[in-house]
Amino acid sequence: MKIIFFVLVFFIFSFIPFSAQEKFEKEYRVKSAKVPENALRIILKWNFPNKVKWFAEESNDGKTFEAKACFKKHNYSIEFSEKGELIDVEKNVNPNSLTKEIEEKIDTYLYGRFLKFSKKKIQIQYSGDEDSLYNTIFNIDAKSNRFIKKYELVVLGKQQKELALYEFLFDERGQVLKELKFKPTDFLNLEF
Amino acid sequence: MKKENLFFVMIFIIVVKISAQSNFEAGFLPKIIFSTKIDAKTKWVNSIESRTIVFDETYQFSHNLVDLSSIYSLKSGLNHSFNLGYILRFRGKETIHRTFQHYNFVSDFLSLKIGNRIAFEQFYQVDDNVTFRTRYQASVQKPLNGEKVDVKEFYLKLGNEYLTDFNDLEIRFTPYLGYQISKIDKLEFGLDYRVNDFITSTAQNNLWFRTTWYISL
Repeated sequence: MKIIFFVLVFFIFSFIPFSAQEKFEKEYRVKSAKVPENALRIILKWNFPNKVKWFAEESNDGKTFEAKACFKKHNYSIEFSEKGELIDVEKNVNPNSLTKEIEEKIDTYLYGRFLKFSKKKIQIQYSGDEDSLYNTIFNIDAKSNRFIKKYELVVLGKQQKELALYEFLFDERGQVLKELKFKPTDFLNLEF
Repeated sequence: MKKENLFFVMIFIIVVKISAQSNFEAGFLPKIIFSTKIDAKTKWVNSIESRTIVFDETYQFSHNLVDLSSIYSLKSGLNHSFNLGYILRFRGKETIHRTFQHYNFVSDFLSLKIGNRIAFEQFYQVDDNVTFRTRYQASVQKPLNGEKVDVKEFYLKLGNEYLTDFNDLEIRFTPYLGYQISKIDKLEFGLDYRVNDFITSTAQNNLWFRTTWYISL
């Protein structure tokens, strides 16, 4: 019996590409003390009423920091470069809270793309200067506000017989800027 | 204290508590699960598991059984699957054949993943009638760092399973610490505590130290 076991172990080992280069991606919690000074200064100044959680994300493209906070029932994610420069602010919104105009444009595109679809998650991305982004989060309407708005959607879409998750990035005019198909998640260890 | 170390302290306390009970059996259950993709919707999953008993009334080190299984898995939705499988169990001179059907569905939240499994099993033995068993398992997986399990990161998986052969009930608790070795494989180690026969007679307690290596290609 033991022989069968060892033969099988050897057989399995011989299949694994140990030296294969993999795309490197890692996301983890960090303490605020480890966050770039400028990023921490901005978040402290913005003074969210609830706790702010910090995350670092490393990939082949470099490292970024993200502050996650909740304000007025919306989840915000504020992204910074490794040097602490503000990149953008992402706000989670309900699918029905988009303006009719943009919603129609996005839907028209998705109807053309899929037989059936459902929007799983919508984030509005704001990029701009520090003050404009602050005003956006805290609902301050100022003439000086200048930011670019983009919409990031996670969509469950059906094409022919294939059902898959996709990520789309739309600009303010409803044009697709980016499309990404998620690799199906493997739940092997929750099945067996 | 690091979260991984906290897990081992918890395991130690559970072992001490359980081993003090009567009708107690303990041992090792190493397992390798090897999954190969056939196409976008189907995969073929094979596994080998051995059981070594280290305590059964007295301390010992006796090899108990080997299970070989082969499963055909069909994805019926994004997070749903049907599995049809066959297990060959070698226990001493005895060979037990088992067929089973699983239905799995996984709820995928931001950082939590909850897996559900409903299963029906049929046991075939020489000189014995076919016996049936049904089981339900729920397991929760949470990364110990960040919102998703990345390569070279730990996660916690807690499972609870109920099994019945329509005469008695068996309950299993399975706390595991998992480690994502690479994109294609992960290792889980922890306990598999089983209590059965507690309705009809004195409860039987089994405590297995489990190591499972999951490989998906």
